[in-house]
Amino acid sequence: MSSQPRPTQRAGPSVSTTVTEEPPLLAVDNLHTTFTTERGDVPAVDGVSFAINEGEVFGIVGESGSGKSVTALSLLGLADGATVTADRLCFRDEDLLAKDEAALREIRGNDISMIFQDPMSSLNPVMTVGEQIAEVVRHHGDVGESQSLFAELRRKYVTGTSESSASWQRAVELLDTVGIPDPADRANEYPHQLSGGMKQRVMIAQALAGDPDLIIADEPTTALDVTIEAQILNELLDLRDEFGVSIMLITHDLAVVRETCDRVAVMYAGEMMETADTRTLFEDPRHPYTRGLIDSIPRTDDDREWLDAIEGNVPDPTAKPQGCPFRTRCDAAFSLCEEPLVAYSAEEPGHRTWCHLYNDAVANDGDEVQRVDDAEAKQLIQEHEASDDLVTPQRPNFGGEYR
Amino acid sequence: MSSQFESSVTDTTGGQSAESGGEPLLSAKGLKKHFPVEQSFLDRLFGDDEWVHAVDGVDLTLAERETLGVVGESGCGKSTLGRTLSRLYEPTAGTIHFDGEEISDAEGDRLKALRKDVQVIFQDPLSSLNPRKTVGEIVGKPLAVHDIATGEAKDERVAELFEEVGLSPDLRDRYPHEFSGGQRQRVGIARALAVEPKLIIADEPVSALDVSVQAQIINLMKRLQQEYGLSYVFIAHDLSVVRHVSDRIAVMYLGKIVEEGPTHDIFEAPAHPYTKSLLAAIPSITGEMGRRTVHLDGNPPSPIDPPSGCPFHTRCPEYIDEECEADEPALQPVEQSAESDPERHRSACHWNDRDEADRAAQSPYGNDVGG
Ligand code: SF4
Ligand code: SF4
Repeated sequence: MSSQPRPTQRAGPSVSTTVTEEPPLLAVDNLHTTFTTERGDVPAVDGVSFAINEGEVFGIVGESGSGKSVTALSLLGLADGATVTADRLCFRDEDLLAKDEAALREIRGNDISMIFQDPMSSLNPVMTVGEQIAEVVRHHGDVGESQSLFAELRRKYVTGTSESSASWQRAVELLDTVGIPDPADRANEYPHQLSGGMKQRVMIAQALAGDPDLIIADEPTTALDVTIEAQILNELLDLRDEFGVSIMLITHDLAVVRETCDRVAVMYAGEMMETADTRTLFEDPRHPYTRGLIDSIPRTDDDREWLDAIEGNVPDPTAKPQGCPFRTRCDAAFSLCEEPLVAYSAEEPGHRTWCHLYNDAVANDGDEVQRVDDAEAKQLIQEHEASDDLVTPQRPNFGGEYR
Repeated sequence: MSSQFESSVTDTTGGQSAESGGEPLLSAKGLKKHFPVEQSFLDRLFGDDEWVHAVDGVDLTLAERETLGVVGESGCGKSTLGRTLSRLYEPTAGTIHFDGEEISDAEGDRLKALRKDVQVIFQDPLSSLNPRKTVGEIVGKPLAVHDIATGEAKDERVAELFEEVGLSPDLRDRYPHEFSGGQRQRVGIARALAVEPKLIIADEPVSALDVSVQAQIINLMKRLQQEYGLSYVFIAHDLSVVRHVSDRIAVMYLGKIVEEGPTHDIFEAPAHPYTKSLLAAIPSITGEMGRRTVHLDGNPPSPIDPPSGCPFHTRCPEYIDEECEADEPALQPVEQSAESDPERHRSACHWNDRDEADRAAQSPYGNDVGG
């Protein structure tokens, strides 16, 4: 739980199962991202805390309006027009909030890359894919090719990148790494000549070109067929296994989380609901929302006539209910639910639940409240709020166990 | 699911099913829908006509009160099939019978009558709802168009329909954009229901919705089916969802049905290599954790120039020999297990005529080939 800065060393995915004391790669504490609109302030991200370790695949799962994508954009200074505040927003030991746009651009090119659902949002339609990746490679600056404005312009409009240059070779290598067949030929193709799955691979190659420590993937497979989806997710896992890159995977799909992530955070209406290692989240979900989500999904092995839907709709973000944002739809809601949410820890390391059912002054059988001492409970909530409780996970590493 | 199907057999209000030997509500034979490819001047000069074989010879039947799920990867022609069956598209070849009548060439008044009996629900309700009309007007319009109700009776019926789909009638003066995705899909369903159709063709009706809302809409569609005795053609890419709602499933590949059968048989004892690959690729929240094994590489070939022989031979993990490339396998009955009914479970693959042991030896799924 210590947060003292320490020189970090790049380490591959550790196979040890011990809890490590290394500071996390990314630490987010009490992040707020607020958009001002005609209809009022929209707290898209409303007090979110989590941390991502080196070599870890961390999932953020949520439905529309949960704030999962805005969280990612906020980390990189890409939440246009929003006010972003946090008690802590650190990549390694650098404060991301203190950085100006130029410094953030540097980080986005070298340390943290992002891939999106729609590859065309980050691919240039009129440049060959090899050219685009080579450009990132040169920008990353370890191939010793001139990237002066003049040299880049000449490449862009006159000569193209020479196929014998180091940057082009590296681009072809990267296309090969992400599983593109005949990479040398494919490098000369334009994005529109590629299928959806191939475009997604090119985007991953481009994200890799800057040799990042963290890849943020926002719904990277949502538009793809299941067979292609499985290939792309496996590709991401291979990258983690081979290069030790951390991955923050943002998705609406619990099944995708279950097969790819080491740890996961469940978000709802801009707030954290539950975070745990993936196995624990599925085997022992504690939050009523997490349980509701899991139960509402049709499975290939159930014979329920009716699905257990969560009734109702996500609250209007300009008029969120006080206290727990889920209380308008929660079957278990009780007297304390109008109090601000705090994180309650479970026994498993790193398993936290933002739900008052788990307040020590509440006795519950997991579904229903049996007894609650209101005064004591509120006292506990206040103490909880006052303590500077950074959600730094201890690190359960399931690398060896899952695959 | 199957219980629903059985109830339709014993139903005394006139529910017929294929099983009870009655006429199916909907049947198609040799159905094709081809689209011309946009062509350059040169192509036209040389008379190179190119066609997308979106639906390429489909036979199917649907009983009253039954749900047929249609699955397949994007581009397999499942949406085009839905639109052709509902006569939003004119078929290129083949016949469609609905309620005892040939409808593939229906026009004018007959087509208008058909528009009442067959309704279509789309993935994105917003694009199919007029943004300048209130949702009350949207649901009320078909009532007027088909002379079902006017004036006060219409308003009453609209209010009823709203309640039926779980929307407060107080919301009738709002506009579609004021609603969430789930509420908009409820409006779309109320509009479809207004004309008391016999058949609803639902094209990815829940794909754009959040999972919690998706479950609400699936439950709603199932309840309405029971109440109104509806039949559904349910088109979707999500196999878990299709399994949950369908009595029978048809698996499409490159414009053709490669396997069809009762839902239970398709999931428990799939026969076609393509079906097996698809099922193996389903992301799941139960069972083993960790990576999915994928036995299917790349994308389907172009429907402009489909492969010879078996359409799946370019990707098939159980490819046999030249026969797969030379002869197109016919959709024929298969007996996958003791419980399965070979009359209703059919697959199009040359393994049907070959030795099970040979197949087990070469299949990436090992012995797990059913039968
Ligand atoms: S805090 Fe209350 S309303 Fe929120 S999830 Fe827990 S029980 Fe339900
Ligand atoms: S006919 Fe041959 S290629 Fe086609 S599915 Fe069967 S084994 Fe595969």
